[in-house]
Amino acid sequence: MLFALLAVVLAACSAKPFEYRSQTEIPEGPGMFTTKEGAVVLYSDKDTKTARTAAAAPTPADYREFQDFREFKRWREANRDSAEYREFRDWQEWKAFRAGKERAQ
Amino acid sequence: MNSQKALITRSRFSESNYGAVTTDPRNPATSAGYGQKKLLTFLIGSILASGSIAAHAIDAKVSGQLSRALMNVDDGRVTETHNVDNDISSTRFRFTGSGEMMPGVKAGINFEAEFQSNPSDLVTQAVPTISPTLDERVMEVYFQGGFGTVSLGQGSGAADGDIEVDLSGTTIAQWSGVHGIGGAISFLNSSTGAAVASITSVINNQDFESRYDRLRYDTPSFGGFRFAASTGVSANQDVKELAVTYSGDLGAGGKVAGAFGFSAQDTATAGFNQEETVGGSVSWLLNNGLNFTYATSENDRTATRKGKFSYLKVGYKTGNHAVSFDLAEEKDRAATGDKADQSGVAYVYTPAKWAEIYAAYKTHGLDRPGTPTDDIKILLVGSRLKF
Repeated sequence: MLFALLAVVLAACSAKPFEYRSQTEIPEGPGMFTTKEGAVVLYSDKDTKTARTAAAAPTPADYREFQDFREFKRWREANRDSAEYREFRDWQEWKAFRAGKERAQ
Repeated sequence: MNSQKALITRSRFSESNYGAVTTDPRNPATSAGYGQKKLLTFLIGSILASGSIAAHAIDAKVSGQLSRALMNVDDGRVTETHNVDNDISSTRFRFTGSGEMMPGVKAGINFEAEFQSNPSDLVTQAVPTISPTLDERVMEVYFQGGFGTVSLGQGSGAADGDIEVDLSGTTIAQWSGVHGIGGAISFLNSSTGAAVASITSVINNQDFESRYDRLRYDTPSFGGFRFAASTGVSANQDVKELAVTYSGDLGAGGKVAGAFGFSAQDTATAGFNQEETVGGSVSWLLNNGLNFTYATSENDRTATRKGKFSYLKVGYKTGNHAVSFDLAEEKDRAATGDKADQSGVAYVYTPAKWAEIYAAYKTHGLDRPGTPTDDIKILLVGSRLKF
């Protein structure tokens, strides 16, 4: 009896959990006239969300870039008078100058 | 410093997106105000896209099922066929909805009601027609997150279903709740024909306190184990329940699900302060389709008498077909010395995920000292369709 119990416990420890669902509840899966959702969807923002994400919403890469930007701002505040920051401003001015030159051409 | 340079380099590519060149006085388009507007737009967009506010990932759905059957009953004297609603899984509908209330916490509602015409556990040979009424099953709000699930309102107690775990695939036609089919049919005295006791009164799986108005907490899964507790009021009496459930896929060993629970309900009977129920069930489905289910429970009937129920089911599933045989027995439920038993066979065909067609046959017997009774034979043929 003890060995049987031990075997069950060991087997249970190595098992992958699965979601047990009583068969007396409304079954999972599609219904007779409902889609694979298995229900009439009265409201869902999934479609809207998907469309927005595809069209214009920022991606995770955008968010990482935004975090970089915030880090840059912190660095800028801390190094406003440094040589490196002055070099950065020079680079900005040069970039604007180059853009103006290109427009003139 | 190198990292700062890299940061500057990366930021160059973000200028056009975020107005990063806000310090360039020669470019009004990149002034501070403009950059802040863009930043604000970006932030709102990010939050909306991440679904981290309440307005997102919201679903509201309605679904249901119709569950009808013909129930032929032979009580030893009369044979009648009843057109019933299968109480194992009744005709019902539900509204569900959920949404992310805050990051990591989902809030939801469950509203489920049943509408049974001629419930299979209530019709009798004399009263074959019972008008339907709209009965509450579930009316709860819940909050779910890494902490588990907290539910408030009408719904299953923590241990509800713990005597009914079943992986056989024939549950719609045959399960441990043997009183669900023909429960109100009476055993008749073999000599006089007088009603002795109903099926429900002498054999019942005693599955704790079912559904009631309660506060319930379920832990997250720990390797397939979940723990639950609930407290509330059922039939005007305080109820407390505790339960543990397990479900695991053993790979080559098949799937196992089980549950064990305890409930205590106050009573209004002098000298019998608390009715306690303890029990559990386990079901094992092998990969070859063979399956075994066992359930047992003990329920205080009086201060000195317990109903002792046990159930065994052996089944086989292949493709859309499932068949099973079961045996059930309960002692001392209605009276000391009582021994009620049941044996049956069931077949369920599932041609589509939303359709089940089934047939089941079972025989109920009652041994009561000094009172000879006729067996009750019940044939059930029906269908459950999900819509």
